[in-house]
Amino acid sequence: MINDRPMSETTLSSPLLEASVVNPQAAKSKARPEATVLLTSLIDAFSILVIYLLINFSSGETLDSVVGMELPSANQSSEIVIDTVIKVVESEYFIGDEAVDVSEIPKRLIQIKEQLVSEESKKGMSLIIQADKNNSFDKLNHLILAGGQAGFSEIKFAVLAN
Amino acid sequence: MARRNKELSAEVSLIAFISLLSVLICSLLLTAIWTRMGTMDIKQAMGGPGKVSEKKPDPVLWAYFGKNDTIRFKMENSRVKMPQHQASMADMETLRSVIGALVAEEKSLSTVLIKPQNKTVYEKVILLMDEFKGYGIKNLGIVPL
Repeated sequence: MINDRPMSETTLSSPLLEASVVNPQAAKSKARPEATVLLTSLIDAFSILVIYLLINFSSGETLDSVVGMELPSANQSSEIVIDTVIKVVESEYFIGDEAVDVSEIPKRLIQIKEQLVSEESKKGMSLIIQADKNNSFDKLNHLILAGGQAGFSEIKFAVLAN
Repeated sequence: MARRNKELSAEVSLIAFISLLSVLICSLLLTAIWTRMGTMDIKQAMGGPGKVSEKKPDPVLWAYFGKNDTIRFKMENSRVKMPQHQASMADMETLRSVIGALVAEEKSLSTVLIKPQNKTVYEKVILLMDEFKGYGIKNLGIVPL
């Protein structure tokens, strides 16, 4: 019956029945029971999954997440434009991936800013601060001061967008 | 005559399609970003070496963090005389209503300066900034210690 249908090629016959030693039915040609898998619903499900994933696919930029760091969440956040990033991991500070001593931060930021200005880079006007939500403000205070001193007019705090 | 038995098959082979979909799903799942990051922006540049304007300065709302995450609000350069308001971060409903009342009273308010304390938790500062942004305040600044 099923062989007459247009989807007959996509149905699978039961390999267990054909390979059965106790009661081999492969030779029986009449009224052979078939375990069919309807592929239409499978394709539907796959298509829905692909569409959902494509819609959620973000082509925008993102920051490297740090293990154990919990960012604060915000409803009114802006989209990330990657610029100079300072990470605060416990008591250590990182500019990019390089660990920097607190006292050297203003000097390093001035160097970065000068380099960006000389390269006439479009980016470089903002400084992104990535820190754990439970940090006290005194850990971030000197970053804001150093950013202002180096000429970063815009300071951005990395958050989880709700 | 022998050709009559051969029928043309107009069927689409679904196996290739399923394979393609599987590969797409796998690659999309692997590259998917499940947590969306954003930024909360502040402008730290307070004016510049421009002409001295004769125009009355724009109103500025100051938000001072106090003990136990209480926040004291003080309006400057406002035409409307306002008493100082106070709210706590522990009671977000009251905080929202205070901010809403301040914004409603001074329609031209576009600048808010937040002054945290040493021990103020970073998350609370972001929360307060988020509330102000929610009321359409564009220029947010943080006053360093």
